[in-house]
Amino acid sequence: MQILHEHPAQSHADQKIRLICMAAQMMLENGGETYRVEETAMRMAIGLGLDDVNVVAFPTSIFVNVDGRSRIRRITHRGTNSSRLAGVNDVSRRVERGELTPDEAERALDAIAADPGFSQLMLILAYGVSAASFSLLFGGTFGSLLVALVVGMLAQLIQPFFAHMAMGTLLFNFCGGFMTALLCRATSNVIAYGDVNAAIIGGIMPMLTGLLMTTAVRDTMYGDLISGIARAVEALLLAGCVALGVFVGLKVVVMLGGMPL
Amino acid sequence: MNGSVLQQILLHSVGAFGGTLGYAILLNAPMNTVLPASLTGLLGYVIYEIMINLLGQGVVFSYFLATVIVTMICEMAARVMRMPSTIFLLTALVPLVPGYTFYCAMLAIVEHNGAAFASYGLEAVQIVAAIAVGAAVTSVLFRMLAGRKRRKT
Repeated sequence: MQILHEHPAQSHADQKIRLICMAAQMMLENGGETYRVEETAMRMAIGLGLDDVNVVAFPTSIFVNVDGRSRIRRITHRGTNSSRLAGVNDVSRRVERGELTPDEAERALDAIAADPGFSQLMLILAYGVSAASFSLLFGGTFGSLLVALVVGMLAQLIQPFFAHMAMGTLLFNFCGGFMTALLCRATSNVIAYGDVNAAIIGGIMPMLTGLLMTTAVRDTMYGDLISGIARAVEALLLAGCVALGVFVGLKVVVMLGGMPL
Repeated sequence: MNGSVLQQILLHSVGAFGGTLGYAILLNAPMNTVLPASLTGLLGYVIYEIMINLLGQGVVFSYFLATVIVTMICEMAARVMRMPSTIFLLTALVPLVPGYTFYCAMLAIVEHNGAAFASYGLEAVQIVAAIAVGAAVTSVLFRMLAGRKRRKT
């Protein structure tokens, strides 16, 4: 009798831990800060009626322990997807208020993970508009606006090739910076369209994620020292890759005998 | 003279709005947050331009104040719309990222101009520090105050 009753209870507990892990992993993979991930996991644990829960999150891994049962998840891919962040946040709050059963919550999380978001065409357009607008912001002429629009669209066009690669973001930043600098300068050698620098800056602005440094400082202030340092290093590395790409791009044009800078 | 400054601010605010809008879509932001975040980004950049051009403040302080105001608006918007504040901050702070200074530092290296690199590089580091600390301190304070209020009721 005892054994028969234990089995479903144990699978329920397993499902609850799996839910917490899923939510925490999705938040970390899509740009959630460490403290927010831990908070979300704790909130879900309260809603699922678990006590004695410990959650430790790093930018690269999560550890969840419930009543001596523990799960570890490795975070290999880190990007930013605001819709998923909002979705997981919403699910965790509904679980906390007891509006969702574990089964419903799992289905909701699966649905969020399966949502592809905007189409690639839309993203290409968005990158182009963003790059053109930023080149206007940095004093670009109408010509550099157009060049930034086209180069930005090309940068987003090559982005899917790096999406599932190890170190994909670093490589994309390098290649994007390289391509932007090369094309903007090369075009100006063919047609003098105005401010070359504004076009290049417009093209690289969407790659320079400003929030990473802020997240790093905020994590450090909350006492997550390791996460803070890890994120600061990540921010420096990403910016460094863009810089290196732009540098190589400009150098190549100079070496190929383009106009002196 | 004053007219041309206003015209410049108007032109730049269009750039800040469009840049933030495109960036929000790149990050796959929920549709109903795109417009508020873009408007906040625009406002932040306008505050920065006003501080620099009309009030004659220093660069770092201008960035700092603009960041603090943007962060406060983002935190409030996050509470009103019941979403993580990160979604708003990610996009609204983008026009303040010192891409221009960063690029000038890069260009100085290509031109073998060590002095220019040091000066632009240092300025970029100062601006990034001002933005990071400004945003982090504001949102941590905001959370502390909001948390206390919730506990009282």
